[in-house]
Amino acid sequence: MVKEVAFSEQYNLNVNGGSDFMRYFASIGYLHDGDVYKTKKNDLFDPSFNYKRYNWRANLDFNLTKTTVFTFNFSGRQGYRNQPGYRADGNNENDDAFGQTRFFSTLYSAPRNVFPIQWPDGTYGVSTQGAQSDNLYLMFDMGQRIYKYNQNFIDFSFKQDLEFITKGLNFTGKLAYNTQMNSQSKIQRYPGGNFGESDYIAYYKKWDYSRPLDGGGYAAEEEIRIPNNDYQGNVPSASYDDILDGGYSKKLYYEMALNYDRNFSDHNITALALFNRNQNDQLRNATNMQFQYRDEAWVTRFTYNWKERYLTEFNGSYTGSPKFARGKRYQFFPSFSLGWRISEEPWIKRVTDKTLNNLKLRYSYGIVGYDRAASSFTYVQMYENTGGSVGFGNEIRTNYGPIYIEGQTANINATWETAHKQNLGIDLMLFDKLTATVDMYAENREGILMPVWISGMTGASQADGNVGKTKSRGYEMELGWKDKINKDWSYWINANYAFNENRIVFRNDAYRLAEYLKNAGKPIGSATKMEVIGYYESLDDIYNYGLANNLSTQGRLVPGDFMYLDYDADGIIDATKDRVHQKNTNFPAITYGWTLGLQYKSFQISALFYGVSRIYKEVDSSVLWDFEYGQQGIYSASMDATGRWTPDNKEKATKPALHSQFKGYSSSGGTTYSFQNAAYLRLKNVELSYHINSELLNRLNMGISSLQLYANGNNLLTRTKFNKQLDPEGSSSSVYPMVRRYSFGVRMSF
Amino acid sequence: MKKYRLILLLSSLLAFTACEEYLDKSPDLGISEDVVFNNYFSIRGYLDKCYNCVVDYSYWKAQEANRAHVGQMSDEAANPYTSTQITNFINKGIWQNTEVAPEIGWTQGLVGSINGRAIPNAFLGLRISNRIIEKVPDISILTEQQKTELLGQAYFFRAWFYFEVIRRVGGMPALDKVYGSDDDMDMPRMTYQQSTEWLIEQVEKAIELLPHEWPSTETGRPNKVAGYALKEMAALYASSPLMANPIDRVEDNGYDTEWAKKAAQYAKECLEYIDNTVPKHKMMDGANYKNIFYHFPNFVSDESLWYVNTAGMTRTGPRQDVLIFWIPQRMAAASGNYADPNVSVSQNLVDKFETKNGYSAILTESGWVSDDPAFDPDHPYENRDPRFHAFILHPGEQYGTYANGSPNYVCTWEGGADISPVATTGRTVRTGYLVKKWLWPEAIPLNRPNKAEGYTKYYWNCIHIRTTQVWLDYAEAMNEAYGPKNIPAGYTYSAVDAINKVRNRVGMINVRSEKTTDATTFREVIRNERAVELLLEHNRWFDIRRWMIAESLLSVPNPIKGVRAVPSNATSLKPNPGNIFTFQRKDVPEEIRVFERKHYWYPFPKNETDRFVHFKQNPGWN
Repeated sequence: MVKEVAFSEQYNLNVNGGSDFMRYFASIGYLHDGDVYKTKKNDLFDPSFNYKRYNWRANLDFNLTKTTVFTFNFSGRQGYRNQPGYRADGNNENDDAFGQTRFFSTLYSAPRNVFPIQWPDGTYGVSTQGAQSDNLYLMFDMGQRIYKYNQNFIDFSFKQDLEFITKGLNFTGKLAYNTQMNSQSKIQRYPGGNFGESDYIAYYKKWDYSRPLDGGGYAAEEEIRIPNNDYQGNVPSASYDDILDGGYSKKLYYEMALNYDRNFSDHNITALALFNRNQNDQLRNATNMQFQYRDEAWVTRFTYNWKERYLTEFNGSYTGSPKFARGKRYQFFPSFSLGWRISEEPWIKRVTDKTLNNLKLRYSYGIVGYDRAASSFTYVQMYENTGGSVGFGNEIRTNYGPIYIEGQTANINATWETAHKQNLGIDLMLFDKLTATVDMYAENREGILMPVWISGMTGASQADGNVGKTKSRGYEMELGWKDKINKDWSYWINANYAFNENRIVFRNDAYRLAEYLKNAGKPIGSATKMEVIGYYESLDDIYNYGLANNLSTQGRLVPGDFMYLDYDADGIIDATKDRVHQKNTNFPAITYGWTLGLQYKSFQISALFYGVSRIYKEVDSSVLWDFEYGQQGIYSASMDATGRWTPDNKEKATKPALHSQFKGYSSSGGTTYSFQNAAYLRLKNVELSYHINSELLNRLNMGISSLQLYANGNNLLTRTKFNKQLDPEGSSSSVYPMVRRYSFGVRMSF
Repeated sequence: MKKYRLILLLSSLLAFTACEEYLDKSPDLGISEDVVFNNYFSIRGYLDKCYNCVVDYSYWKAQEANRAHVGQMSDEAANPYTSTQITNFINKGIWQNTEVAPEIGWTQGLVGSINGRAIPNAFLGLRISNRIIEKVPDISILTEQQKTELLGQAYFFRAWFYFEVIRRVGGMPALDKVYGSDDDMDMPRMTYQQSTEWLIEQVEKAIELLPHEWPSTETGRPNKVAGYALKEMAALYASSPLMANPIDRVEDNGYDTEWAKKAAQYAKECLEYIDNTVPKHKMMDGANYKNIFYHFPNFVSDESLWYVNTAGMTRTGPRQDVLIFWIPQRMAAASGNYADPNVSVSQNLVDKFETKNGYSAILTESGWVSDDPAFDPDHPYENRDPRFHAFILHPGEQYGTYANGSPNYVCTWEGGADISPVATTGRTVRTGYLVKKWLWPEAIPLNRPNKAEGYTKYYWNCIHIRTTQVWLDYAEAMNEAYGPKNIPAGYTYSAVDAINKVRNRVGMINVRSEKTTDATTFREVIRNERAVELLLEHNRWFDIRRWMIAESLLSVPNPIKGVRAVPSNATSLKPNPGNIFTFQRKDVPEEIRVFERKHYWYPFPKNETDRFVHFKQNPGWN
């Protein structure tokens, strides 16, 4: 089903040059990512998974006068994403989410012993329920889908020195226009119906209506078994270049700025005043565009430093968003930062001389706004005409309509979400070789848009409000060392470590709710799970420990099923009050890594290690449990199925008792058994490169000015405790699998 | 000069500062409140949503009950179809954390439609009526006539929906305005009786404004008589033992006599109003008794005072209510979710039907027993209250025919095709009795080719209040206020007179004199009569709760009883000539009822009471 080795390639060509008047840079490139699956191309379509992309760019700079520079850039890319066309419906990339995930999750869940991939007569096998989504080869044979992505970027910028007004002042302007067009083409071999599955007649009799029989009915003319040589199969259907929902957009952006940069003896001052606007038109679906989106910002920045020793900076932005009501659209977001280069202080310099290259202490504080979560125009209370009617009358019905109802309750005070951030950092450099950086930061967000509870007694629907609050804290450290041993050898090491935690401060919890059930005080996005405390060892355990959710669930438990903790000790193990917030979330609290590099003359080798920790992920049930589809008659088990609980295996059981259908141990929303430690350490990248030196190239006389060969590998080694069937970096079993990649390349310039 | 040039340049940039204008664009967003409230038809269209919020228990999917009948919550009925929330949650006493259940659930899902739950639909209806009452008086383009029409309906709906809420959850604060997100809903609850006073103020305004009779094209809107009927029904409920309690207690201290007097007075006013002004709404004639419930070609029977007008909708297609509720699987000649459910009447209710001579007849473990000397225990279903024959199909009764004309029987005797083990557990007629109240022989599909044809013969709908109920209410109120036989000044009928009027209408004789001696004995007669007359009309569930007898009726083991009829000579499909049944009372253990003291009031959802300090949860619930 999956190849041992697959291929991808990338090519790039750049050219640049110029004169006093004009400079140019142009580039074209091509990328092709190949397929890991063993799909087969046929004469109608090619269902392989691959991605091809062409990209191009041209940058032109003109010195119109001695003080004016005019730049014109255009670039674009065209990408083609190809995949099998199983169950392709709809106009949205995310349509047919069932089909898309089946390509990958079937690797885990397809039963391994129930039917062959293909019978000797060429028909594909299907599982007992007739589900065609259990046979990957059949899904690959059902068609092809090509997504085309096209983007074009044009921008102009203009810079004019305004030295004649005052020294250090210049004016810049920019205009950018981008378009995007995404479309899909599909070829399907088995079209039609809700599921894109055809009526697959396997056997039928053909009656001869010219020969009626005595007792009624007709004689049979022939019996037909499909497929045979005469049966043509379903004719493939195709549609080309349908624009995807949201697949067309055009953006216009323009900005104007005044920059000032001047030094007065020891004082260095820069200032900036900038104004920009943004306009965005996007397609909503095949026939309608979204209402144009516009925003505007006025930005100012002012920096001052004295002798590069005491540094200050102040920023302010007055930004407007179209989503809110008049009077609430614009908000001012200021920030400032301070820095002190201790190493420049004369009294330090006297002590440390050349050893301390840099010691800097910096602090910043700012307020930032966010409006992407909000929908536009939610501040207006609207009514709707439902088109419905009521019927009255006594012998003849008369309809009275249309009926009007209140629309979604408005969020009248809709406004920006704001975040207050501060950061304290220290930079250090010693001996020209050792660098260290430590940053500590804290962020408080408020006005977060969230649904606000309203009592059912009002008869109104729930509205959103800007009432949520969260906070986040963390620190990052970086340490580096680089050294030249002699003129041929040099090496470097960098290590970094980051830690982050966040908490919800307010989320409109009911005040009388028990603390452990409230959202406040828990990490954002934290999961609640049923705590597994062991296995039921006997029927007494099952009936004495507490009511397992309800009588019918409890009646189906057997010894060997998971015993969940009755967290609030009320005698009932139920999924609303016994779920406990877990300390770790899907996002790692700790990330770390280091790179190592070594250079010898023209050779260079480097390696990047990357790891995360304090992260837990939910393992898919198709990977975790055996006999997942038992009620369909499909019994597939994973290799650790022998670890299941039996009365003889009590001490060493790693899995609960095996069930053929009802999974008493699997609780929806997960349990602490399926929520597993996804920490990993990975050798992410190793690169080896060789730079052919210029003397050798000159001798070749081909006009090549530099040539570099490189080889690198990605995802080479992984160390993790996570379930071995899944990749700890990926999110689930329903995505394209992570791959280990080796590549070789050449960079040449002429 | 340089400075001036700088200023000039900067100020030209500032010319772009028409800030707000650049972002001041919005699409034509749709209809605002001013547009809706500027035109009579759109205001009426806004008000008419209330009609979609009224519970229609004649629909199998109303409140997402999904083939369970409201009669299953009390001791009236049984149903073998168990994949419903009435069976799995309400009847098991699990009333919290079941927000999607019918009756008790507060889910916003499907609110404002016939599938929405009673209480959220009532709150939506209150919101709509409150808005109409707030805004309509000031709208100048409406004529006085239009304002009266709109306000009359709005006040009636305010009262009706408030009544729907309080008779389920108990006293509430006065919900008299359109609440927004900045209103503090944490209001202290009034007692039930204070709530009823507020309700009666509203319904009196409605009575003032509603017309005597809407034109026939608008039959279905509430008439003035609906207001009178609601007023007396609300007062009767307020006098009942459960409703006489304050918010934090559930005790049985008997009726509240003051309120019983008020209820009697309002009921008298209603009956006088009907007699004098709208006589077509008088109790219908006994000869047309069955046309109270199903009728053609009129959509609504004359006796219906407040009802859901299904306006000629036939019970075919997705609304196969006749098939789902009343016809068991064998007679439906189909299978699956539409054919399997059937509502069967419990022996508990059958025991309430007296013999023609006014004696009670009860089925015991050893057969039928009655004080009536003319009663024949071998033919117990003969010479009974005529309503028995109008409402119930008993084992062995002939009903409907096959396509070839041969007769069909109700095969609920031992070995019969309609009960297990011949019929599977999901399809058996659990108690042995089927319901005839909304059934006609042509509606039995059996093996006819066009199965749905019979459903279109008659119309039937959900009646919330009908004239007979007003007479029964009157009798109950008079009995509690003045005793069974007293006729105070200004009144024409005593409690006994009212009950006899109801009985005589169907051809039953007056109540036997030994049962009219005192209020306590006669109370049992009234309750019996009410259970018989209003069988399966969604009254018993509220009645057994407000009389505070639900706990004793339902907390016994196997509260629902049925009949075991052992034939002497019958096949599975037909009793042979000369067959004699032997009858025995049997338990129907599959019908579970859990009813504790706290179940007298529905609980408020936890996510409401968890946020309130002053607004208290009902006693016994957390």
